[in-house]
Amino acid sequence: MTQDRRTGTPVPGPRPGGDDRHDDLAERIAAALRSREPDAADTAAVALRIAARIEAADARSGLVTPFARRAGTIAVTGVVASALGMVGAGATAAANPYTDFAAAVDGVAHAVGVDWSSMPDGYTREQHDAFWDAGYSAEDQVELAELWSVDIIEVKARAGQMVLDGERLPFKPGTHTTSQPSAEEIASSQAFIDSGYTSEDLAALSALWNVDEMEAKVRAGEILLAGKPLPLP
Amino acid sequence: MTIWLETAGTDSAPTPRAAPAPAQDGDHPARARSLEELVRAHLPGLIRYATVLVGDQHTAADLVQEVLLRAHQRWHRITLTDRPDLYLRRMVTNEHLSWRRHWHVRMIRPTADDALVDHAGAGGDPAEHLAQQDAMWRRLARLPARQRTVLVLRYYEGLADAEIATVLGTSPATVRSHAARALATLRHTDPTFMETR
Repeated sequence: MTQDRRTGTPVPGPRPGGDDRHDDLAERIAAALRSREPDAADTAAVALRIAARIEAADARSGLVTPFARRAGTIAVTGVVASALGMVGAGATAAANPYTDFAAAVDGVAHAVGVDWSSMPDGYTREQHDAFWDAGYSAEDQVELAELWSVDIIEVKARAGQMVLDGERLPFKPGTHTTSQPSAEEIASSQAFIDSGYTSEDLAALSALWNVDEMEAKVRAGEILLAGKPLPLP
Repeated sequence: MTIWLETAGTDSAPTPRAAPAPAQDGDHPARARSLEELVRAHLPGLIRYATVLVGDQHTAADLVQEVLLRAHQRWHRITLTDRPDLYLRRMVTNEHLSWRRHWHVRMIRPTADDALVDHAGAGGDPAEHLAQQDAMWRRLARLPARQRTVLVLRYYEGLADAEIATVLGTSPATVRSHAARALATLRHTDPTFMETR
């Protein structure tokens, strides 16, 4: 039964496109709320007083319920049990082979004679660096993937190697770009993430409106910020 | 005949059992057990929730007491609901929202510095930590009442959106709309977020 449930724990939930800022905001909201939580002794004292008054009200109505005498002990027990449950969840770091940290780990591994790489098979860090340092964009990467009919890892491996070999790619770096979303679009997208809807909800909206998920997220956020519910069950 | 047990162990779902006759409201032993369960199982959590909700311990105590004095006559019936914890939070929330309309001056009070120190964590600069918590608390206090209530239920009580909807007597979609608007306001007024844009 959740009658005296653990409190002060942010509900992470599956947030579509959730980011660290959301989690940080949730943590800070929870911390601010917990800062006003009464301590165990105060809670027990208030519980005892309220219980006594309910008992008195019962007595006036001709009913005697001898529970108030034990109320203090019971309330204290409940508060302590709850406090023990208030252990914050630790953050989990996601592995990303493309970070400077991963590169440093690879370097250390090689320096001590370990043949290990965090990079995917067939894709070297030199290729990765060459592709991105040349100024190619994520949109260029997608375009090349369609042009060559290969996945995006292979795109970067092949294109990066071409750059390293001094070969020309089908188009110049940065040819394909997507305009940056406006501040309003970012706010709307964030509102959808904050609302508590899931990735499945986003997919349903995307299908319902026949738009991609980014556009669905922005449109849904606009609706939520207008104070209206989304067309979901 | 099937009736529902008053207590259901660690699960909120009631357990059916066969019994010769259902307990009545006027049944004193059953009533005593119900009231005892109220104190044991629900009262501490309800007081904590009310305190965080209204921001003032004395107002919260008054609020809970008033609600329970009204509810205790039918407490036995409340225990028969699937989620008496949500039912009680709904009563407290409704009372809070009602009081807030008529008596909002009492609702949000700044907490004394020494009380804040008692709640401060060990890490980081305590003064800065307290200042940040206090700033966040004030922004929370300025939110519309229902939006703020949604955040308390979600981030303090740890309820799922469907459970929050039950407490507020609305739909999960409306809960999420409240949450989205509240968080958008907090994000908009948060200097640390504005710096990173």
